[in-house]
Amino acid sequence: MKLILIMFVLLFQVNAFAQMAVAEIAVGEASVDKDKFVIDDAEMESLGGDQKSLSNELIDILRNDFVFYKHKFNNVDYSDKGQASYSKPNLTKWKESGITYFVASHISSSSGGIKAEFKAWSVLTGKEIFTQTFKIQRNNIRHMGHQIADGIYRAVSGKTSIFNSKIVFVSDRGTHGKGTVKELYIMDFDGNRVEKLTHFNSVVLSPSVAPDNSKIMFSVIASHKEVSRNKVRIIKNIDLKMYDLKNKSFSTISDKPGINSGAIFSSSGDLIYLTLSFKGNADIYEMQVGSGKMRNVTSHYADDVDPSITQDGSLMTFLSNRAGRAHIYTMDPSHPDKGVKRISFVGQFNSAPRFSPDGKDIVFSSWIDSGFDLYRIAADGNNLVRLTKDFGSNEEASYSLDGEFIVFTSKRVLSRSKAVQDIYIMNRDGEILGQLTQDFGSCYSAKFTN
Amino acid sequence: MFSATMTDQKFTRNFMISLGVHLLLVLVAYIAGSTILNVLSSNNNVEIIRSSIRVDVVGMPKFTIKELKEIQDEPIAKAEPEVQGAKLETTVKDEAQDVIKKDDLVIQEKGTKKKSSFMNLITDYSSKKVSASENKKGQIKSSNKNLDSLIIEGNRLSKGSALVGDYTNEQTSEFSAYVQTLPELVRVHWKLPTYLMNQNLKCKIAIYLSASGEVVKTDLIETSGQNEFDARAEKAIRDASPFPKPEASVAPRLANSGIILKFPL
Repeated sequence: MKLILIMFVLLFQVNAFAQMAVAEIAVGEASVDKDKFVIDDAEMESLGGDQKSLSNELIDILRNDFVFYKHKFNNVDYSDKGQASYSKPNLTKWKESGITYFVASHISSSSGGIKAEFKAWSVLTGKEIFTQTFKIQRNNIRHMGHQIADGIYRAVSGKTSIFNSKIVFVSDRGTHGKGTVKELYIMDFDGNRVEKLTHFNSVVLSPSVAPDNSKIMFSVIASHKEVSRNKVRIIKNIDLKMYDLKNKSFSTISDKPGINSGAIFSSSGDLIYLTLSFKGNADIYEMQVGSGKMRNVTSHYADDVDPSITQDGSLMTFLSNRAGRAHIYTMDPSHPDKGVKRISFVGQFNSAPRFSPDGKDIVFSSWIDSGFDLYRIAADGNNLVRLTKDFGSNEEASYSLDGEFIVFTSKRVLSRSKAVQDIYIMNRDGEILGQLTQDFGSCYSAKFTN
Repeated sequence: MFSATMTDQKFTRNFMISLGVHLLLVLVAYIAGSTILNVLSSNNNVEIIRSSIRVDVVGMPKFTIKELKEIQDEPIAKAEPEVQGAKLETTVKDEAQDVIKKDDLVIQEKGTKKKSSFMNLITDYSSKKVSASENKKGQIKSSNKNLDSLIIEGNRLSKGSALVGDYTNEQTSEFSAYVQTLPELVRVHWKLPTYLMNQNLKCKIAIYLSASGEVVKTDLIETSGQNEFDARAEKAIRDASPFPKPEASVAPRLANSGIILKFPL
């Protein structure tokens, strides 16, 4: 009996001890410990005055490019002047300073320009991660600078940067007099090297870039002659056109009566999705680029416009007023009206939904108070977040290829009769990085190239 | 006759002894079984304390991501475990403050609080007049305020209504309240270089605290496979130390059993 009682007491004690739970709790996601990045002044060898200025300009381009990724890198403004950093980098010293990546260059004279040798090191591992030589002239310095910066960025992160990306946009700077003229332009991602692409003397709308960057599709208000009872009438129509960047030639993709606009390419480039209104109300159609063969993607009595599609083509987002107000929907574009799902339920007027490259998020603009602001929502309709506030009226957002940046237009009313609208760039979390256009008329519909 | 009576008494005594022994055996078997199960399944003997973030969207968000991050990044200065005697007052005060904290956790205590779900908020809202006559004015008022805030402002971080476990024990409640404060204090120091971000790496570290809140020992329970990641997680803990001084009632548990911190989730 005594034995039983002892066992009983012991078991109780062991049981009580075993039930003393260990608490587990999640800390949550880490914040980014930004890499400290040094792009050192160039080691120069026997350079003339213009070559020295070219070299300094090149280093400035590289440093400026990396500022765009300031959410990832702390660009340390530190020069190792006179320390032969290219040939004999003092990595130990950099490590002690907490530097993670170090870029050095050796620039010498070359016919018509300079020869620039670049090296980058991971200071933590002591390994050389990038080495390349470039021949640079005055007329290609920005292009080459972005290429070098992209090479270094790839070596550091293993991903493509936006440094080689361009931005297509529409501007009304050609407007003189009453008739508005909006033409198509293209510029570097940082707002430099702006080039005019169209001279229609008309209104160009909603450009879209082919996946291989060889073509740009856009709509234009075109004039068509219509002969009726021996009378010739001029009819205005929104036609869809394609510009071949290589051949610098234009072709008409669709000129059906009504709207032919909001066109985008599929990721393969052989299909386009566009809004047509030749049947009365606006619907989204899929068109084969070569044959022009079409089929309905949406077929609803309400207006469906502004398609955007994921890279794998499995999900499309668009704007529709089928609920009474303009709201955002998603669907499987493989069959007409397949799996249509409304994902926005708030906002007085939503517009221009655009997928992020990974297809997880959609950025769009929504009217709030007295202007538009930009918002981001997950493709399944969750996680609605606001990106802009107290920054003018912000619209027409579009993601960069790496999904890290968003370009958008922002309008500021200066007086009752005057307003300016420019293109800005921010990171995906809404941190404004800068203004890309200035004194360039009112700018619209900015889109990154691929 | 006499012999029959003796047999009955003997039978009754033997029956009672047999019943007692059987009951004892069943009890011993039950305790032994549960003990063995507890010891064998030590992994299940983990009290998971979850932090909750609830975002209610009934209008377009007023705050930008940047503003929300600034709100979330405000660390809790000091752990304030719930005290039994001042329970109602503390509850009212906390809810009336309407402060948005990322890791707010509503702890259910049987018989003292009811589940603070959205439906309950609606119910409170609709029964405002009836409830106002009860002695819970502050609580009702704050519930209404919560609902008003949800309806008017939308998409904001609310206190959350996720409930984890049955916290019937005051000591457990104090322990949980203390543990909930730790993630925010560690997260301030929890940083990774870009190359370790978005790699889906995870690790678990057990920490043991002294009575003054200092980290006396850390154990890497589960590695991420990346030394740098594990080291950064441990550094975050060390940098956050000392933590607020725990109540005397929970200090032994923090020192002996420790707490497992999961990086990131």
